[in-house]
Amino acid sequence: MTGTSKPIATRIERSLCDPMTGDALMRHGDSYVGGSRRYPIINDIARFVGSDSYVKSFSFEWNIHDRTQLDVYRDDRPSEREFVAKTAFSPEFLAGKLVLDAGVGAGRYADIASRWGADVVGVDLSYSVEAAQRNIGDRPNVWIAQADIGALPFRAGSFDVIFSIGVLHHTPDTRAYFMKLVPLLKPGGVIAIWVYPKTCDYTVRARWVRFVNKLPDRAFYAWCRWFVPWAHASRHHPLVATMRRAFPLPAHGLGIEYDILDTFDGYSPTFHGTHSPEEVEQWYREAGLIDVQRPSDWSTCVRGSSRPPIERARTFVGER
Amino acid sequence: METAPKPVNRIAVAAVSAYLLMVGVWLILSRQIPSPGIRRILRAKLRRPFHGTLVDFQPEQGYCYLSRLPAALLSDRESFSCLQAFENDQPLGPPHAPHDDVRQMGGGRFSHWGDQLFFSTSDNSDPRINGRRYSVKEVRR
Repeated sequence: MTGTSKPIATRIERSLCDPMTGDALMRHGDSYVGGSRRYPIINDIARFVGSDSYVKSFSFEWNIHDRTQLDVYRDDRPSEREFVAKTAFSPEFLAGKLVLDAGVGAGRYADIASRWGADVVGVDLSYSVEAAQRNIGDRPNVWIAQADIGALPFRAGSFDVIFSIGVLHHTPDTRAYFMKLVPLLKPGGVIAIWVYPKTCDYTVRARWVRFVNKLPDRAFYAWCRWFVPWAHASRHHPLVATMRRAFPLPAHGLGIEYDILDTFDGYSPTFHGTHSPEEVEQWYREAGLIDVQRPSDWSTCVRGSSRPPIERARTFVGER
Repeated sequence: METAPKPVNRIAVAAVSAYLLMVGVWLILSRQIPSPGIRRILRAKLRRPFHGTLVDFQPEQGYCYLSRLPAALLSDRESFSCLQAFENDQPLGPPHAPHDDVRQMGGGRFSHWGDQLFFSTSDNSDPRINGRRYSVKEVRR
């Protein structure tokens, strides 16, 4: 089933608009066309950007580690555990809803939401969309697009649920990009995000990132492939333990490939914002969201809702 | 597409290692990565290794609990802690754990940060009520 002939395509195409002008987009052959602009569909992926801009490291990593974090290729389901912890979503809550995964990567969370019965729109600025398409693009309830979170091709009020886990801190302005997502919620819709906290490891890592991200991706990745297994094998040596404080390394206990990926992921991005939970909650309030809550111990996971549609007057009259 | 690991590119590894070493030295010397001064290191090395029993546990987040330690000890904040935590005299670990790992995974992970010990118990039980004794000792090698 091609991306543009499945049921979710019909559902999402009603919401598509030109990210530059806001004009309605119509499907014409292998493109979406609006006014004088044309957005091609290549490999069943609608392309609303011309390149991967400042997220080349993500294009690189997700096309090498396209299966590392996906639960469908693992027995221990770490992504599902993390998804639930960071959003408090359940299969019952998501089933049937139109969901936006802002920063789909290789599709680790879109995989879960789509298996739970949601219609999932996964967008990413990077060429990770190729990996996502390979992993989950053939599902009838998944639609993948390459687009910038700062200029998404959807009308306001399109989605029942939006989540963005571990993505917004890699944009030039975390708060501003969060604010761009909020209007896409339907009244009563729910948005959940997780961004890097201002805790020790993330703030130390932020010092390194501006130097490490100057390295060619291939060279730094080759280094990660050598260093991470060595550091893991020597983790009890006091020198290595001390070094890990100055150069924090993930140790998820989910396999060395997972840690290699996470090390590369943590140090190579162009942007690496860190935020306090109070700061994130404040964004939600400034955006006019209600029921703002932290669903778990992940301190900078915050979830909130847009205001529900106004009750019909006759309901209140009837109650009187 | 995960394939069999390719042989490591040794030239790239050597070049990146040299670059990161220079960056690391600069980050430490410019105090962008916290590190103790020479005088503080000498003072810490010259006094007797610290050992003591932990009391007064404060829950932090998840499996993580806090306990106060003397501020004079070199901590992980300065990338220099040599503190080992014990549960009923059995060593906990791994030490120097990221705080999120202590919170989310627990299992005895701990971190000596400033004048506090961020720690979890071996079975993620509550140290205030599990009846076990917790202690710390500086282990200098």
